[in-house]
Amino acid sequence: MTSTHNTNQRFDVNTVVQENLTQHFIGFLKPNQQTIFSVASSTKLGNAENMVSWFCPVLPLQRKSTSSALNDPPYLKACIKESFRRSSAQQYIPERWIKGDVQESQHHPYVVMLFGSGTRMCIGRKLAELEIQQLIIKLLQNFKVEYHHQDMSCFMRVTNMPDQPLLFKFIDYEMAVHIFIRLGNVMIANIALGRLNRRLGTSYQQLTNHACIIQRCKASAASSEAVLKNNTKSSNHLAVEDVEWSNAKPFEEMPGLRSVPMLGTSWVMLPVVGAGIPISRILELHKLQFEKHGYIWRDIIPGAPPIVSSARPEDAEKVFRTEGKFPERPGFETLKAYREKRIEQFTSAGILAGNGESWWTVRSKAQQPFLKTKNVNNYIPVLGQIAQEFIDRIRLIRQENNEMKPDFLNEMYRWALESVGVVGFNTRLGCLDPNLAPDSEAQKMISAANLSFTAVNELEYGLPLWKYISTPKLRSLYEAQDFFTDTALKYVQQTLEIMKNRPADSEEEPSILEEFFIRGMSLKDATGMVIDMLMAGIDTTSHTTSFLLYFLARNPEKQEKLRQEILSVVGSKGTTVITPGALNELHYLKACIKESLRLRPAAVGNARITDKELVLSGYRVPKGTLVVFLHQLMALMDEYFPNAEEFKPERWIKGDPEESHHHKYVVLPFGFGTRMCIGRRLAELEMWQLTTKILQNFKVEYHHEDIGCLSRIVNAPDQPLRFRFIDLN
Amino acid sequence: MAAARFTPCCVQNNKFYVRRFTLSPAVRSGEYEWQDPKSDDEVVNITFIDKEGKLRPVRGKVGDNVLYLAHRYGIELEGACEASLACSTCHVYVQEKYYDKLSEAKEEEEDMLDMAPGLKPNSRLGCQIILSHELEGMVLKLPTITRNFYVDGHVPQPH
Repeated sequence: MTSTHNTNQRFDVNTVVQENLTQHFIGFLKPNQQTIFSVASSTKLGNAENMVSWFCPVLPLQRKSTSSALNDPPYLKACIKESFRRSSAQQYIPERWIKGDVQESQHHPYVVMLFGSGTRMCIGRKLAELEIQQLIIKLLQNFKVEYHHQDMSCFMRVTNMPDQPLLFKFIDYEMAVHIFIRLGNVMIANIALGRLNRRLGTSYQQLTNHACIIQRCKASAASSEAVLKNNTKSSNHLAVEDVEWSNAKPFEEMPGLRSVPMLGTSWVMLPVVGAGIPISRILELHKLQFEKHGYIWRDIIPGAPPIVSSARPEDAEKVFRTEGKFPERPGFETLKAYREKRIEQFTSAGILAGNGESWWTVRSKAQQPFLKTKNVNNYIPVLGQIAQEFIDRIRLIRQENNEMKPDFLNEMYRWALESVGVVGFNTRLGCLDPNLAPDSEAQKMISAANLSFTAVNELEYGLPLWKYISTPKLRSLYEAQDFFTDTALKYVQQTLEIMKNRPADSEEEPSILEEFFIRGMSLKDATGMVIDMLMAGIDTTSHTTSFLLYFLARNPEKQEKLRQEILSVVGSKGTTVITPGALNELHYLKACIKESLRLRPAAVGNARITDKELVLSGYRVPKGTLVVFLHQLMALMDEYFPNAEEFKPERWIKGDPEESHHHKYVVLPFGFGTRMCIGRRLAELEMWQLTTKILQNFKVEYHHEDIGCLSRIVNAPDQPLRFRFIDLN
Repeated sequence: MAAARFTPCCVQNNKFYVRRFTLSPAVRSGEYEWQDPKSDDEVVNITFIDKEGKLRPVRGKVGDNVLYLAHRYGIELEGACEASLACSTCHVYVQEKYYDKLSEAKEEEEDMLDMAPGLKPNSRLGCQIILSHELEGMVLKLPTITRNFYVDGHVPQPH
């Protein structure tokens, strides 16, 4: 084992030591990482005795070596964070140091300078490294090392030292094997069995398979477990999960506020006793909770499932990747109630509020018409025309100093309603008409939409009195919804009529609404779908577009850069129709939108009700828990985006020096998977078109207070949108 | 379906725009892939390497979508969102020499690939690969993981 030959081959130990030295505190102890390490190294070294020596989980032990050898100036931590953004700098990933590994780190070599360099490099380096290696080897040959206490970080002295007592457990190796077999950990038991098998002359094929698979997979905990689970097609399936589950801390230990009778933990909202932050400032509350509890915490509201809030992208990834055929999303109780009451007009709660099989009935028929670029691109000309009308309207309604009146958000609603209406109703409503009569359908539609949003927000976020008595707000919501239903039904029927009468030789592509019917959607479902488009496609798109305009106004150099792209790809304001090809080329525009959605997403996060037991951030989370991923909070953390508050579209440009390598589940403004926002492509198209037109025509300015988020069901700007639209020469 | 013309005569002021509509056969997703090649000229042979590493040769045809073709031949490529670019469950690795022959991935596809575990330089979404003669002989490898860890050994079914 300790011959020179072996020492040379010991690249794994080296990488592990190296990775250790970069971290002066290790907050994550993931059994599966230990497993990966042991398996990978065992195959590399390729003989059973060595393999056994690598088998022991190495992490806790290395904490010790870290402490003894590390000379880590405080600035280093910041540097490391900066350079290791790809998968969270604080994660312990020795693979970063393996040449050719998928996770090999490409950081600047001067970021991590463990021993210094040059003539003042630590003179004892080689000796220290040898000492550490030898000790680790001996320890791992003999023991399985565990550590079950508080996370260890650094006391700064001349050299950093551990701030916790080193309460390691050294368990005799042979015993450890038995424990693992008993726990049924497939991977580890396999390795141990492999050693026995060798005596019996069995091959290591199985092991090599596992190791190859693992090398291919990426860093996240979820993926590694997925690998294990997908590749163990024996009766040992449940075993891996059991180990993860049994190693995890119980749900009750998850940090959270004290629960009181009647209120649960919602007392935090109250003034005086709680933080006194209103629900419309929920992001502030999330920040407070994060500071108090860390990355994950739980809330209790009596009579409802427990709520877990997580600010770890790894948790989001795990939930999204494990979700079954019908991912369940909470919310929109009022809409559910309304549709139950009008059951003769609807078959189910629909795509927005519904769940389970009835949700899938609608989704499966609607997702292709809605999300396929080909179908959505059919709307380029008409959406372009709507955007042009909006430009004309801006010129009409702006004040003398080119500034918009404080109610400009309502104008944005008109634009969004007109845009979504042309898809949903298959017709132009005429919301941007300068001479809109108060009793016109368009005007009534605008009012009904506004009324619905206010009512839904108040009812869903307030005390649920409406569940027991018919409150005035509920009645007004139902009235508005009745109007929507009647109007939607009218246009849906009209579309059906047109479809019946169309000539057989027509070469026109069917509209999205017609595609629903072609795919066999029922009249009732189609009506519900159209109403859902109105409910989900107006405030979201207009708020996010407003935020984008705000950021462009506040960052004139970015605005100018974007304008240059638009002028060179699309042309000047005379251009009538933007081609799909041109839209594909507008990379900076898309980057601006992504960046704006990072800072001001349509909603604070994504939510799911879990359909299986899961371990999130090391805690057992029971089935049926409402899990909320706080994407807006995560996206504002410097740990994922340096200078997170800054609007920097270049983060999203591939190959740009400022390109961001954050964990991809940090920013998910549209969600992911079969419950991804179905209107995403349409919303994007609307935003592209309007932004293009506005920048072709105007210089956008904003000279008032910063605009933040009012959290309602969707985030809304908390200041009047007093943009200035100044004509370009 | 080829001649995509959409001319909404956007009549203002609440008038419904009058459009002519087609009765052209609306092929539902995946139905085309279930049709056998009409002649040998159409045939495009490709091979899948499944999760167990087994070679699975498939006789496809020009215009077939790789996702639905895989469904037809019982290859475990999930495709939860049915090619609507909302997930990455039909993630495949494309043999290097054929990778360059594919049309470049659009940003929408790249965004979904970003979310896929085991992303490699030759990763693509199966639902975005349409067979052509150029792709004769292509080998597609299924990643070991797509999205779900089915604990009970459940094999993902196409939706």
